[in-house]
Amino acid sequence: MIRDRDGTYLICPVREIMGFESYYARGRMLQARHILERRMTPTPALAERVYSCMTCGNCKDHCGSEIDLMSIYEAMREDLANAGFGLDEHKRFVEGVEENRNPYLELKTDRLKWASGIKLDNEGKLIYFVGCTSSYRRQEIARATARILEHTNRDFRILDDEWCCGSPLLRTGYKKQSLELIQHNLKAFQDAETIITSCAGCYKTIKFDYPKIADGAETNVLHTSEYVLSLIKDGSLEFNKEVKEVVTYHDPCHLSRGGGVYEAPREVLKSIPGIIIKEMYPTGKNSLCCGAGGGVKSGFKDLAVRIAEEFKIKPSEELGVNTIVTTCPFCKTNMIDAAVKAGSKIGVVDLVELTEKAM
Amino acid sequence: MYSTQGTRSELYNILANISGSGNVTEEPADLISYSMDSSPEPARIPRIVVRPGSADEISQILRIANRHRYPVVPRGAGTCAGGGATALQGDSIILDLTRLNKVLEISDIDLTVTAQAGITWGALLHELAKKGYRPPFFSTESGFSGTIGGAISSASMASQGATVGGSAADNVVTLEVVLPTGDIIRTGSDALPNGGKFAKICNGGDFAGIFLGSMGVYAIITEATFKLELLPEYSAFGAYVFDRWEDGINFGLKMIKSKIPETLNAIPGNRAVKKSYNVDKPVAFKFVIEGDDKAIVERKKELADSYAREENGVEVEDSIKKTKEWWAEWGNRLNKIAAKYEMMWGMICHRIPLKKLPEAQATADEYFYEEMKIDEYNIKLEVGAYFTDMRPALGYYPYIFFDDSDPKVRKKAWEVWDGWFEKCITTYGACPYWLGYGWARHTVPKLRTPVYNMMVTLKRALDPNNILNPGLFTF
Repeated sequence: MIRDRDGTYLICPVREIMGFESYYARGRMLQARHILERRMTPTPALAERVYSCMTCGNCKDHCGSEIDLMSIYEAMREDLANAGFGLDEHKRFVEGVEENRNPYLELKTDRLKWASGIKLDNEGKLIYFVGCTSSYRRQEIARATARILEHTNRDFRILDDEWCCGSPLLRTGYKKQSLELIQHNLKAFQDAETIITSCAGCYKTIKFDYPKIADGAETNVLHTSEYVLSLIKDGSLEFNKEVKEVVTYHDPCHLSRGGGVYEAPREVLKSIPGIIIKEMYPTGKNSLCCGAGGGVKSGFKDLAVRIAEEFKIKPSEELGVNTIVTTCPFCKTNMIDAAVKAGSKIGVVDLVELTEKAM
Repeated sequence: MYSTQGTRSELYNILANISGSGNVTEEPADLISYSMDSSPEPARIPRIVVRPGSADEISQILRIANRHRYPVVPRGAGTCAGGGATALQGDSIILDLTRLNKVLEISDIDLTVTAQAGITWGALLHELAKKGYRPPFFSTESGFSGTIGGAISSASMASQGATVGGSAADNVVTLEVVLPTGDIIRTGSDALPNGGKFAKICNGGDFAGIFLGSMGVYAIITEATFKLELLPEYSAFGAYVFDRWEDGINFGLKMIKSKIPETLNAIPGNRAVKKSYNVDKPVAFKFVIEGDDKAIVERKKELADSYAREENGVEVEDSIKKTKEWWAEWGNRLNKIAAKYEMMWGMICHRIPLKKLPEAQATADEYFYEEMKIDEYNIKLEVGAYFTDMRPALGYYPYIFFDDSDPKVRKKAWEVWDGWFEKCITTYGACPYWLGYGWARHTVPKLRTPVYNMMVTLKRALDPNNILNPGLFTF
């Protein structure tokens, strides 16, 4: 399963925490097989095993047999949800999305509260798709992104009726319920030339899931790390301030393994004066999930935080950095929760926040 | 951990008292995950799974199993290719040893590493690489996800280091094992309180040898000390095809006599050579040379090339990457082939002397293609061989790949897989180095009677109630 000379050995953080084979790929494949061959019926315990996966894709990428494990997991979840074994926490956010178009049970009318004071051009062909987490929980990321766009004189617009991208539903087995969201957002994207998003989950969903689900509906979507890098490269964005920090970069799974974006965030970091980057182990294509994805943060809060503590906060402290930089608001939230739990002084910031700081 | 079961069994409570409730499960969704290993053997669901955290916990568990006559099956990563890590008896306790995953000591002066049995090869190599070491044998066919305990219990071999280092078991210096009665013993020099871990055969015999390759039938291996070597800095590669079997065999023999290769592999038979190099020749060889001195590596490569030319070998391009990661690519190749075919695989690897390679290949061609007619079932065959122990002896591996979702094909594949064990033992004298249930049921009954009797006597002496992996060796 392993490709590196020194034997990358950490693949599944859930396995490392939970231990039993039922909590990682080979166990789940046997569970799927027994279900398909009608030698087992779904149970809440089975659902717990199947849902305690972040769908980070590390097992898939390291599987020499090249089995599309993520699709199998998502199909298992869909079947479980249809059979009534979906997790209560997930059912709640499905209801939230249906009612208010976000999984945080927040009011639809509060979605743009973060944008107070931001000048919005409603005609721009560049759409900043903010996403639910940056709209409601990590508004500093939305604001920093908007300020970078303003600073570089981009004519951008924010959808006045942005809906959840559908990622939380797709990852947890509620594909059917995601269809309305996808159609709505695609319609809103119609006149856009480029869509940028600061959320790794939104990025992967819009770029890779939308075309599959909505029959080839491809959009020109860029992650903010890619867009900021293009601004640096074309000279639109110059840095005037030093940011003296020793940082490590956490690859969000949906952006890196899911979207193939590894270098853009690192190139942006390297461009910021004063930043010293240290890579944690494992990193890049072998990077471990922070623990939040795939519905784990909502379904198994303690597990999500423990994973971040074990595999992100502790290694970063051992590495001697003072800040973890990431490019996903959801990862940021989970790693902050873990740092608080661990009593760590390590900071967690999004790349756009550092970018804004250096402008 | 969520369980649907309202009432725990008495056994659950006993094991939970020893290893902690988070390390014991009798939940069906968990048990199913332990029902198979990496072989086509049918699923066998155990009674309970426990993940002990120390030799002492294992000792307590075995004492209880003895008292109540529970069968106990040790399991590492579950990557055994022949039914060695599953519960042959439904009442079994699976001992999942993956909590024993620590490197205990890397000795720069003894050139050894001591690690717990449940550590994976990936984790061990990662820790060793930090200090510039590796064991002479370094990882199984299952890749780096297999555990060292599993590898030495099955005397596992693969092309990653086998040419020099032999099997995983051959690299062991000392062991810590828990006997079925619960006694914890140490072997070799470590059997003496002040002996240390530097010598294998001491104090009256090779006691580690009893447990190496014994598939957990005589004891549970909990800790192993391996030899170490430096990670090499330089490498060279080559691949040659030969017009005649005898030319290829002469080349292989010369390479071994001169101790040139780090790894030497044979590609036997016209079909395999055609598939690899698109030429119609009976045999090909490919090799890796490694070392710390560039000039020595280059000189060895020159010698290897000259030996090949002396036997009229023709150099061919090979897909192995000419980088330090060559072995990782090879280590993963079976899964890659399985991915190419999108099929399940069955492995039937065994040892043969070099001189028997042509006969083995002819037997395989006749058996798989003519007798079993595998083409009619779209069953694919891949064969290969690698030298071991720096001897003219090979690990020879025919693997079948088949569509596991088609019941007709699955049935046929089982017949082919199971039948080959019998065929190769009774025709050209194959010798299995590992004994999953697949191999054991064909091999053990054919051992010379005094050997079989000795094994049974040994088993009775060490495991009077037959609790460890009962039935695996047919007794």
